[in-house]
Amino acid sequence: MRRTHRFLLIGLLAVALGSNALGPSTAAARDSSSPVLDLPRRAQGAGTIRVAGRDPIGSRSLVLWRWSDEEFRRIANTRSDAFGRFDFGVFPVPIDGLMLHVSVRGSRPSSEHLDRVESVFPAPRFAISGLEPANLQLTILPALLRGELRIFDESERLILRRSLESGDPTATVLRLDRDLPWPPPIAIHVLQVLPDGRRSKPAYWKLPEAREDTSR
Amino acid sequence: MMRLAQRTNSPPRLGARVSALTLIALLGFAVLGCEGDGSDGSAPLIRLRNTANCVTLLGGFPPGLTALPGRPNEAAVVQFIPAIVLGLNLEAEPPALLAPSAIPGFPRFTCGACGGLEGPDSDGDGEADACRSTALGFTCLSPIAGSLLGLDADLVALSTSSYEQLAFLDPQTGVTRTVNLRTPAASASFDPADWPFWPSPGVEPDRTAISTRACVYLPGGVDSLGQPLGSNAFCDPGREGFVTRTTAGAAFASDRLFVATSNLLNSDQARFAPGTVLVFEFDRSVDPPIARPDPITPILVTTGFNPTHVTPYLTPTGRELLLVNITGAIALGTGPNLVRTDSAIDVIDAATRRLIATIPLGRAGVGFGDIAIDSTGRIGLVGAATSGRVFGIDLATLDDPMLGAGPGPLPVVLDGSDPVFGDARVFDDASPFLIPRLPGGPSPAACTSQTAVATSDVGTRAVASDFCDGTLSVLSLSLPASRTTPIDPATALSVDRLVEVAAPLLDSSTGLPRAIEQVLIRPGRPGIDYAGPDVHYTLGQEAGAVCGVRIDSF
Repeated sequence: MRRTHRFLLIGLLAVALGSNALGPSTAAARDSSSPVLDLPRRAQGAGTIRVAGRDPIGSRSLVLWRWSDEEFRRIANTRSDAFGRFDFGVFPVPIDGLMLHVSVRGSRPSSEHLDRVESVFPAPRFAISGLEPANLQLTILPALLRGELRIFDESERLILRRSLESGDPTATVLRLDRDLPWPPPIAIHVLQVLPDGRRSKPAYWKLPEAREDTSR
Repeated sequence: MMRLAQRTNSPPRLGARVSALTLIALLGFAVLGCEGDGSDGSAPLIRLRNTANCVTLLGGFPPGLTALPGRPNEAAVVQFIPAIVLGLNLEAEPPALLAPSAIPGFPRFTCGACGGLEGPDSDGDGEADACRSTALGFTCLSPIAGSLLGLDADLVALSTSSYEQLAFLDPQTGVTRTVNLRTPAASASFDPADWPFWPSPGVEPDRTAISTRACVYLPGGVDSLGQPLGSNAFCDPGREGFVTRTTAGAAFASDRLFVATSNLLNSDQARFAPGTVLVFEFDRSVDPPIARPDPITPILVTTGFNPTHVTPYLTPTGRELLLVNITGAIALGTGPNLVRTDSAIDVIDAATRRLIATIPLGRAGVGFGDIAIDSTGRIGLVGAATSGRVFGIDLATLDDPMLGAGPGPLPVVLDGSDPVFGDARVFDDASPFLIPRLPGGPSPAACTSQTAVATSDVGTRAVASDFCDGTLSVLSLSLPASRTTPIDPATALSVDRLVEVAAPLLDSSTGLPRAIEQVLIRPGRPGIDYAGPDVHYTLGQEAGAVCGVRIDSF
């Protein structure tokens, strides 16, 4: 190789390395020597994922970053093995998902190369106070206090909406003798809808039949 | 329970804090005044802002946090929805999960009787909990996660309400653990028919939870509104009583599990059935452990309404006692007078399973968490459910081995009225310890606060959290060297500084991490036994989180 070409290559390599040290990088393409995460697109089971990947070079100290609120936060360290495999362990995935990035220790993270993991959006839960029909009060417990609750009868007809944004402490409490239409439905489905349109899985609750003996 | 209820204005701790917390958590954007600022104004309060490192969970308001016995660097936290238990490495910043792989959660099965939807099978019987629940007449109920009890490094017990039980899990992996269920035969003190979710005597299945749903009979019993209990449709219709519900905190002592049930009847009315502590024999010497209701004393009735937690305490002479938080009936909503009945700390002798003493604390609204016991075993501190206060009891009054063993009536009331056993009250409703208020924090009319307390197992450090302000009050204990010298409330606790670790509950804090609930101080000496954060706490909003912060650790 001619000397000028060699120096040009060395110079280009130096610039590339230098730009990795500045950051967040603005490079459009991921460097082929950069570690890469191997992630599921969606959290599994109860909302956790294992964060692992491969490092083309291997035997390096790596840093896992979380991108949130327009900034990176370091959340874990590990080291790739001689074969380039690395594993940061298991992480919970918040309902708004996770944006992750892995970099070599000492390198700045890049917002150009983020891996996104979607969360699960679980169904609300029910808490009953008063088991007896005359006394029954149902509290709907969503995963987060955002958006609204939508309540449907057994015919999938929307019968009630409750906003969770207002801060009204009674928004999630249903008095069956007051809040549901008459005659009351046999069962209800409830789901949570966030302001961005995402919907939870539905929760089902069957209204109890009146029991013979009650003194309340 | 009813922590939720209490906090009403704060987003509910959706969960078995319906065991108050849960409900209240949800309901909470509490508007209730806090009392004073914990300072007499004579010395400037040192304020620090500390950036915590947090691991964020799915959903809000983690309802349980516990240290893991034998593992000073580990703890376990409950994710509320979907309910899982996450073991944590506390040395890492932020705390790191212990699980080697993604946590699957409870198995799920479809239940045709409950809308054909999938639901969890938390007790390991091969069918959705909702299916079993409705088959037994309790409607389609699924478990709502609540308090957590650390039994061992690889075994925790998770209280759940709605589907009332203690579920057993391994915090190292998040998977369920098996226990063998054995129902006692019918006797004068035990009727299997009163435990509808337990197998028949002689049938000994392996399950992953034990039911805390039981019938309680109290002739002449009244609820927290003073109304007769009457008969109950789920139990023997010819007897007055109720069925237990809203499973709360638990403790292990004398080879038994002691589980509080708050027995909320109606949250609108703050109506509670009498409080109970269920007693289970729990043999951990075999694998799987064997569990059964105590055949002699399966249920204890507490002195007050709404028991929310149980803390084990070992006296200097080795007597095992249980300290039960009697929170009192608490109403949903905002404003003053949310606490409708008196609070107390009940004392149970674990060996005899008798309620031997009670320490009345007035209309304190005792909090739902552990009673934090200092490193010398002299004082027990507990937070408040509806205010920025801390309450305390003198544990030296429990030293006398004759307490509860003599011929007198039980329980002994330890408020100074008994000529033999003295007064155990240090901080009560009449004379609480006030947590300092955050300048510029939520006004007393805008937030119903709640506190939790933790103590170090070495030295004199204590920490108290404030739900509304987002602060940790760093406290020092000053106790007499001799257990026979009375504790001076004026000097026993002092505030070193106030640390701001989360956003206060103000409108301007939307989107910011806030709503502190549980708090832990790691065992050992910071900087000597470990290098990482020494204090951990949970946040409820925007999402649930566990955070570590350095208070004495650098």
